[in-house]
Amino acid sequence: SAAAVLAGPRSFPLIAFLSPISPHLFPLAPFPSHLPPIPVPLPLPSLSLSPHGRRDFYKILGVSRGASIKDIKKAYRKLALQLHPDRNPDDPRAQEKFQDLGAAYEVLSDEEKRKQYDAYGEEGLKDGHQSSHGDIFSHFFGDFGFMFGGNPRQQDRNIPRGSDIIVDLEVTLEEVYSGNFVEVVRNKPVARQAPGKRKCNCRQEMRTTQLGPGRFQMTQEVVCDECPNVKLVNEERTLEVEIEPGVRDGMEYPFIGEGEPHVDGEPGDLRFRIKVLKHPVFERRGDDLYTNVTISLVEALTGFEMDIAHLDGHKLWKKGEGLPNFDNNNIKGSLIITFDVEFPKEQLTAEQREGLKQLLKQGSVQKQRLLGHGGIWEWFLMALVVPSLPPHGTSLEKLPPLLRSVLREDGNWGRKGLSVSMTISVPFSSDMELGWAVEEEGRRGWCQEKFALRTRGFGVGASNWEG
Amino acid sequence: MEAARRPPLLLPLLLPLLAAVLGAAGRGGPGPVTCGSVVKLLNVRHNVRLHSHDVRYGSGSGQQSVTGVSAADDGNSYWRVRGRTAAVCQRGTPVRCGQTIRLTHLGTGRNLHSHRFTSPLSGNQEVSAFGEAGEGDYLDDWTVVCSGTYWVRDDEVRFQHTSTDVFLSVTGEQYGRPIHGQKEVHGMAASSQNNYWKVMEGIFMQPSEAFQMEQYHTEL
Repeated sequence: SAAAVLAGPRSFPLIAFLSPISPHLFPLAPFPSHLPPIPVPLPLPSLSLSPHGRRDFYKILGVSRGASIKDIKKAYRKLALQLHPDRNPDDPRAQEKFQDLGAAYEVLSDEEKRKQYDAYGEEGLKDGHQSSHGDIFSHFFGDFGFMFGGNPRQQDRNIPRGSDIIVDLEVTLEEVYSGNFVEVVRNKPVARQAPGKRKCNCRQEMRTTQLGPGRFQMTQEVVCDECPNVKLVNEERTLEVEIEPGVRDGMEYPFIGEGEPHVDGEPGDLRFRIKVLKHPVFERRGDDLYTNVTISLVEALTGFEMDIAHLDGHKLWKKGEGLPNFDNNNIKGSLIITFDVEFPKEQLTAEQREGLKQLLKQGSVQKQRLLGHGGIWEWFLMALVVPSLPPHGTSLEKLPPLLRSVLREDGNWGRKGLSVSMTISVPFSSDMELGWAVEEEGRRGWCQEKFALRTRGFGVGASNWEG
Repeated sequence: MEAARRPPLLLPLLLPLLAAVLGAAGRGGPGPVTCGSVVKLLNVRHNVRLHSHDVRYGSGSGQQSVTGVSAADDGNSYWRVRGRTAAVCQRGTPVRCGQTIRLTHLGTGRNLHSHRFTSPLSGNQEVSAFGEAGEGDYLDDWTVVCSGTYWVRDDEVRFQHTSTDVFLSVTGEQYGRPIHGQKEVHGMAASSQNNYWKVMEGIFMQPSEAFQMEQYHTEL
């Protein structure tokens, strides 16, 4: 997106970008409060007189010559926090480096100036700087006017404060993956000096007046102090909220002083709270991404190729495709793809089924495990014909192993019948018939029953029967 | 898209123009109000801002009350512009004239709402704040009535209740305690100078880039 331009008759500041302090770097106070406030930076000398005539602005910002505006903004913010003189009290060149940074940003973020700089270098820039670096910095990190020449906010908690405003900022998963800047215009009332005085700190007080000897009257009176007059004027400025890659739900980006004003004190803060929207394709769990892909049975059997588009449009098939980790963007989560196989809905004829069995050369998985014979029918008949059933109350361990494998583990049987449950895994099937034979010895002697079970797709139809 | 057909030589000329359009947000003034923006609404005739708080009506529906306050610096006068019930309006989408929206009170999460109850002071239709965490019902829907294509920030617009057709209005009646001095906000069927509202302070999500490109094409 193009930079918000400086042209125009409006009276608000020239370059107006505000950016929050990254929440994970500065949870509360942006700068240590025990340090004295930094002095107001001097306005940069006009370029024609600057001793630093040949600065490489791209190098100062650490970006390539073809960097986008987004990259430049990102680079400035990151470096401004690192290079601020308050954070580097031991570095004698801190102020100089910091001003270089401001100059670099001012030129490279402006379409016109950047073109001139690219063509003619720093000396070729036509106009001198119009705004002091102090201006640029304060626009990036909130209304820090108090830091320059005033008392740091943290020292005095008794100053009344306007209310904070918390705004939910809805972001898409694409923005969480690639990062983004959201441009926001803040129009707010600002307390400005006005001529005259006004009443402030009004309160009720009890006054005692003497009416006569021994007679008093207590009345309530409103008593006010006198303060400089203040009026509220609406002002506008552009803020830029950075959506950092990997940001999580609920994280907040504060803008100091951009909340509601207080006529007797300080303004509150404006906080953007991230709310990650649900995505139609990908589900986020931590830094991992989950997605489901449906393929047909034929594809499952014969193999397939497919392109899955990631959140920024690139095609993928490798590890490290989850979301970037918020604290370290180089670490990425995983992308887990679940393949759902869609079975064909039509029924196969007996010939087709035979044909498939021949083609795939894969018999029943169950029978291979237990008996090594061919054919599902045989297996059932053999597995379940047992010479005798144990009397009531026999424990499971005493049963022959084969029978035990088909009995339900809870050994639930009684005189009336034997409950049997079993899970059958079918590698693939389409309308298969299973036979089931049970022989039981009871007081009435043996009985034999055969049940037919129809399977459709890969689900088993009937599953309960008692004999 | 027209830009693709223009000869590339013109691009260096077009870009600063585009930037100027974006900077001034359209010829001669601010841009449109977009979904996701948080705004204060001023009733032009009576100079009060639409407001709500955790105080319920003593009559009518007994729901949370909606009033007009004269202070410009009250944090409880912020309303979030959102799509109609059960619809999604993406952040940065400009609101068109005639579009249906919801206004969700920032502090309490309730939606500007109206229904067939009588307002306490003037006997018009009651306007309340209803719902939980931004979700209420279809009586939260209001249609933005304005001339032109989009709801532009400096415009005086009207809000018509989608289900009952009344206009959001103030006629000057004032409450006593505990909300002394606040004015009644209600719905009225007749259109008048009392129905006009203007967006004032707020946090405005800038229109998305797609919209800005569209604006640029139509203006040139």
